[in-house]
Amino acid sequence: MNIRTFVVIAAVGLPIATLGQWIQCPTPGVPRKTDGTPDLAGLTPRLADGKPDLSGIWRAARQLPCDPEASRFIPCGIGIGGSPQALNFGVDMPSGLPYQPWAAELVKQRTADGLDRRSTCAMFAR
Amino acid sequence: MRVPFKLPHVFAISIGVALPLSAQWLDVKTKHVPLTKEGKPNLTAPAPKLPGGKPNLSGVWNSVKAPCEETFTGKAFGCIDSPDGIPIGFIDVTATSAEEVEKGAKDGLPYQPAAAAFIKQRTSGNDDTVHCLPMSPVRQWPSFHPQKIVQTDEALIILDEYMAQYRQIFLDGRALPKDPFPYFKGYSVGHWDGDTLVVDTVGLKEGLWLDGKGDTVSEEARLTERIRRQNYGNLEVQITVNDPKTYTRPWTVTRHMQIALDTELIPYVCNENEKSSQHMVSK
Repeated sequence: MNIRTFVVIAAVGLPIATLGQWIQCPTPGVPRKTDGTPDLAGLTPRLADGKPDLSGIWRAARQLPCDPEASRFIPCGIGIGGSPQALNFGVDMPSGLPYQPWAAELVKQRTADGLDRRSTCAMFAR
Repeated sequence: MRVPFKLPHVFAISIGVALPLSAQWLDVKTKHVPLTKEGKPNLTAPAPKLPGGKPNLSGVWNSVKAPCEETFTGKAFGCIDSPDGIPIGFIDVTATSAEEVEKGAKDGLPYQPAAAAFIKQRTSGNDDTVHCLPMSPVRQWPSFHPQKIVQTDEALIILDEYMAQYRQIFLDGRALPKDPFPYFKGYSVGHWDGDTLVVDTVGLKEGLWLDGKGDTVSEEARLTERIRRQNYGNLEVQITVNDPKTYTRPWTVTRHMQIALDTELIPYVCNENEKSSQHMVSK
């Protein structure tokens, strides 16, 4: 994906993310360190039946560093850089994803065209 | 003030009906359905309760629809695109019956003069749903598509098959936001009044479409919804719109929902391979 496409997609996702409401609404039940800051390494919460409680608002732990060009539209420091895997799911594989030839060609063409489903407001896979 | 029915509403309707017919997981049975002596679902059984005693509103729900054949749209254009009927309140928010689906109730809404003039010049080509935009809570209830309510102690979450949208109604005691950024769904908090969930919503986007006629609200609007599960199979939603900037007085409509058993949502993404809007006329 070229940087222009990324910037467009990122900008598309900006308004609600930065202007979302109840941003001052403290999350209840957060484990705290002795200095009062959230203890993200605290024990996983449990439901009444003992099952792990997965509820919460989550984001990819690994985020792209703030891009100087993208920051013309998205100020650095607000934490919506996106995940590298969202741009290339096989980014951490030495040889990329093990595509069949036809699929590799399709991806190559898509990359060249700068097409992304999000740029047309369609859904994307998990 | 009533706006004449315009043919392009039919196009907006046809956008919304493709996927419910092919709902998935049809062989997965809904659990804990009360049964009659004959072994059929007993839809008039008492509404289920959560362990704490609050009514459980969870489930997949369908809006009550008028038989398509009895509507102007059906008689004029057939019912291939809407075999399950046309939701009462989707085309005209004041409608309460099949006869009123397109024309609405006789008296119409109590618009302020400036708002009435604004609505009059609206054309269905600008309908939010024609452009695959989210629907307001007022219009979401009488949707063509099923909606799934997921209820927890902290929130009521409504998942909408249309555009895979969601709406959150917070039950955790938080206050409504002050001066929120306007949004199609607004910002909602709820509390229980006996067995009725009372939901207050602010922060609606100015000009959003409450129905296919273009009825609307301003950013100052406040919605109050009283949601009550009448029995196992029926949900009643009373919606009051209080918006002095747009209306001369508050007004109320009631929407009815029916439980959908043995089925699930499948997201309908209206702008996927969308090729219709370029052919739509605006008047």
